[in-house]
Parts: sequence; C-alpha cells; structure tokens
Amino acid sequence: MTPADAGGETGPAGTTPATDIAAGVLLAILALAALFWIVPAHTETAVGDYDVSPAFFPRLGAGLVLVLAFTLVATGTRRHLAGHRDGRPGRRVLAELLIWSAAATATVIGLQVIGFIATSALVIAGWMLLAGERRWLLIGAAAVAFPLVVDTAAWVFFTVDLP
Amino acid sequence: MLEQLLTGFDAALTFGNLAFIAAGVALGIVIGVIPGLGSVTALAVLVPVTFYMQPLAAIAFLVGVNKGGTSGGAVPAILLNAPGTPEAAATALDGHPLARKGQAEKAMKFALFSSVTGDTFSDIVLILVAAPFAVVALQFGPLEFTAVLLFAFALLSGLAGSSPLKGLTAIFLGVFLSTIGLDPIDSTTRMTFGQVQLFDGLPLAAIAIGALALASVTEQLFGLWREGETATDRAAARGDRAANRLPFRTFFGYRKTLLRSAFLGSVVGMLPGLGVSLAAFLSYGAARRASSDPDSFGRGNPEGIVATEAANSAVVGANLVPTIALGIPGNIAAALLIGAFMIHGVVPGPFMMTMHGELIYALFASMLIANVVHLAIGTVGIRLWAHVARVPRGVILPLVIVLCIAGVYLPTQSMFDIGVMLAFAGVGLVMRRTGFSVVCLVIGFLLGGMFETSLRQALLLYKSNMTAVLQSPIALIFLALTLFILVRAFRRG
Repeated sequence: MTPADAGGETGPAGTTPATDIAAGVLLAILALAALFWIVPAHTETAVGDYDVSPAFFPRLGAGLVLVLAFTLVATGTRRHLAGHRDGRPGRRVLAELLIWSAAATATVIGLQVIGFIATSALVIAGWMLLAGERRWLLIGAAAVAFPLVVDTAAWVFFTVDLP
Repeated sequence: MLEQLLTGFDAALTFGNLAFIAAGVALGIVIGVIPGLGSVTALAVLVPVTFYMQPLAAIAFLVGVNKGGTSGGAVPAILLNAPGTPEAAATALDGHPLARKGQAEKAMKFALFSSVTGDTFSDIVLILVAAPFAVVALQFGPLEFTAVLLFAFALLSGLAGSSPLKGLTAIFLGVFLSTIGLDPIDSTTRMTFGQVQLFDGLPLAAIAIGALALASVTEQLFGLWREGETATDRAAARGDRAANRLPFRTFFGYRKTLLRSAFLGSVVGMLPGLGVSLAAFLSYGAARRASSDPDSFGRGNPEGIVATEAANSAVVGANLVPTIALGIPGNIAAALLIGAFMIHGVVPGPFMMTMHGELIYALFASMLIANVVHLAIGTVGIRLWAHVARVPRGVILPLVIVLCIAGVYLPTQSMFDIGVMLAFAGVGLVMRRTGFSVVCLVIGFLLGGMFETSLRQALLLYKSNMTAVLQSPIALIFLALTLFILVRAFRRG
C-alpha cells in the first residue's frame, strides 16, 4: 500500500508526464503573470535607502516558482520522451475541481442567502448522497440535527452567531 | 531547586487546582479536535474566563488548555485524515494509514503517550535549564534564523511529497502567497487589489483548514463516490481489539525516537518563533533517516506518529523558556499566556523568577501534574473517539465539512475566510491529485513571513554583505546541511 492508497497526504503515487507538464506550464504562466503584471501593478517597487523594495520578496518567490515550474516541464518532457505512461490521468482532476467549485460557490451563496443551518443541512445531505449513503432517515437526521447542534454550541460556548 | 519544586507541588496539589487543570485539558482536547479551533483559539477564548481566578489556578488552567489543544489536533488527523493544523498533518502521514488498517485506537494511543512523554521531557528541560538556554537562544539572530528556515524548507521538500521538485515548488508558492498584505518593514500594500481583508494577508487558519483538512475530506468523498466503501474501509471501521492494544513494552521500544523527538521539539520550542509545525516535521525527518526501514514511513509506521507527537508537544513546555527567562513569547500560545501572566500581576522576564519564585515553581509543578491528568483524560477520550472511527466515512466526512465552516468562521466571523478556505480546498484537491505536497504549501506560507523578515533584517544588519554568513558558525552549519539535503534529494529523486 502506498501512502496515497492509504489516504496519506502525498496524493497519487505518480502522475502522468502529461499532467506534470500541464501543471508546470500552468505554474509558469501564473509565475510570469505575477512577475510582470501582478507584482509591478500592485506592489511598491521603489528601493529604500537601507532596505530592499517591498516587491523584492514577492518577486523572489514568483521567480523561484518559475524556475521550478520550467524544471518540472523539462523533467515531464524527458519522462514522456522516455515512454513513461504510468500514473493517473489529469482529466479526473479537472472534473473533480469543477464539481468542487460549483459546490463551494453554492455553499458561499447559501450561507449568505439562507444561512448556516439550512446551507449545512443541504451540504450534509448532498455530500452523503454523493458518498453513496442511501439510508434516508440517517441522512435526514444528520442534516437536521448536526447543524442545529453546531449552531447552538457556537452561541453557547463562543457567543458567536453563525451566518 | 528541588526544595522549591516540592513547595510548588505543595501549593499546586489542591482540589481546586487539580479541577481547573482537568477542565483545561478536557476543554483543550475537545476544542483541538475541531478543525480550525486549536490550542491558540482555545487560549484566546478562555483567557478572559480566568480573570477572576487565583493566579496559579488561572495559569495552570491555561497550561492545561494548551497541552490538551495541542494533542487534540491528532484525533481528526488520525481518524479522518483531516488535520486542521500543519503539525497535525505530520501526524496524519502515518496515523491515518494505521487507522485504515483497523488500528485507529492504537494510533491514538501512540499519539497520546508520545505527546505526554514529549511534554514531560520539555517541562523538565524548562525547570532545569530555563535561564542558561535562554542565553543560547539569544545567539540566534536574523542570519541564523534565515539559515534555519532554509534548512527547514530543504528538509520539508524531501519529506512531505513524492518529489522534492514538487515539494520545493509548493513551498515557494506558499512563500509567495505569504507576501500578500502589508509589507512587514514599511507597511505599503502588496497585491491586496484594494481589498481591506487582504491587508493582514491571507488568513492562515482558512488556508490550513482548506488545503489540509477540507481537501482531504473532499478527496475521500470523491473516492467514495467512485468506488464506494472498500474492504479496507469496512476492516478499518470494524477494528481489531487485539491489534489495538498497545503494551508498554511496545511503546517503550520507540524510546530512542521519543527522546530524539522530545529533544528536537524542546530545542525548536526554545527558539522564539520557529513553532510547532517545524518541530513536528524536523522530528519526522530525523526519525525516517534514522530508521532501518525508511520506506515504511507514510504507510502506517507508528514511529512516524511517535516522532511528530513527541516533538510538537515538547514545544509547548519549551516555549515557556524564552517566555519566563526573557519575556519573549516563543509562539502565539506563549504570547497569550504572557497576557494571562500580566492579567494576574506577573510580568514575564528576567526578574520573574526572583519576584514570583513561589508562583513559578507552583506553575512548574502544575505543568507536571497536568501531564498526568492529560494522560488520564486522554485515555478515556480515546475510547470515545474510537467510536467515531466505526462510523462509515460517507456519514462522518460531510459532517466534518460543516465543522470546518464553523471552525473557520468562529475566530474571525468573516465570510471572506470561509471563501478562502473553500478556494484552498480546491487548490489542495488539485495538488493532492497531481502529487504536489499540500503540507509544503501550508508550511511555506506559515514560515514565509518569518523567512522574509529574518532575511531582510539580515540584509539590513550586514548591509547586504553576503560574506557576513562566514562570521556565523551556526548559519554556516545550517546552510551546509541545506545544500547537502538538496543535493542528496535531487540525486535520489
């Protein structure tokens, strides 16, 4: 059992060279955008008398990410040319990201519009169904009782009114 | 000293004091279990509660909260692979795989016993060497801190992920993200896009919970969606009573790792600012390097749990060394404790031992008593938490999502923080699926601010003269180790 199979932090044991190349290209684009647009436009770049400019460190961080992203693309390309095809495909990642983005957006909107208890009930029921749970009584009880308990505990112990 | 300590025990061993310590430990564990509400939040919330208590009872109560909160974070990390803090992520590396083998109770026992051992070790260090070690801590200037942080980055890149290249990329991505907000030296805005919420930078708790806990929960839920409950899940839920026993002899077999980790945790704890996460990962790395079977780490090796829990708990006591000897808090928890000291008329610093000697030795005694109480309450708690391990993941994981939302909202009451958490859960999910270490990202973000400040202070102090590093043997040693680790990692990887 690899750490990934065991549910460890490291994620998949291996990714396809194509996924590595795509990740490297994406990171390189983000780093270039940071270096040539975001940092110059949104950070003071003037150098003080005694100190480096406030933009020095963001540039250093973005620059190092850029170099490492190019290295990732290079190693991915080398693996691809050497015929490595093992690892997990990247399309699954995109599908999961899309589902998560939709769920996260709905959660934020729900919290603002219908509040914590109703949104949490929907979140619990939705994810339980997605995870394959079909015991309706259990789903209903968890979706109703748990948000109520959390909301009450937040108020009683921390005097915080959840949204 | 022994006589003063005995007098301290005499003062500390009252029913009221013991009750407050027990309440503190229990509250700390319960709050520490909730992602986002670690010992720092628990302390922040509970410091005002102590206002009307006697000084000793108040500080002993808060010390109990701190100890319980630090070890409580291991529970969701082990049971659900949902660590709410970076240091708990180190525990999850081996704790969760062991739980998935049906040995969740055993993993929690390893965590608790190691935590108490590390804590006791650092308390003894605190009692014996508070003053002399504070002098050593003063030898660490910006240059030395920069070298230590570079060493930590190099070590982490090889530890927490499948590829050192991806680990380093994640670390520097985290460092870059840590620069968002106000400049630490001249307070000009950096990449805030005019958003007031970003002036203080991206919220650490939201990033840590999103990228570490929520991403892991989401990944597991998607796994259940595709594959359903597997045989491993069912075996893990059933557990095996015999396999979950932890004889003292088995635990004591890890004595070398325990001592090494407690020592490392104590040293890191004594250096102000370095923090619990660094101790946990340094110790994990040291244990893996010293092991005859390093490949078993990350697959449920108890030594990984022992190393991280002993080290991160050792930081708790050792953090009070600079607090008591110099009045400098070692981390946020110690800063909150300083606040509690001051509320009760005790000003931390070099004169604290002479002016409030009786109280300080009573506090030392309370800390040692708190470890015994922690062991007792933690053991009872494990039996309760073990029931959580038996609940199907499809039921428990959606509840954790709601807890994460509440946990992030409670300290700041900010919808912005919830948005950041959900966004970083997506980032964490992609990173996990593409082999980038989320822990590296979070630690890079956590240490990025400190790295920038110490590097810029070093540049200012030595007028950007790079040869200044030759004047510091400590910095030289750490830089050489950094180079060695990086070269070795890339040659292997």
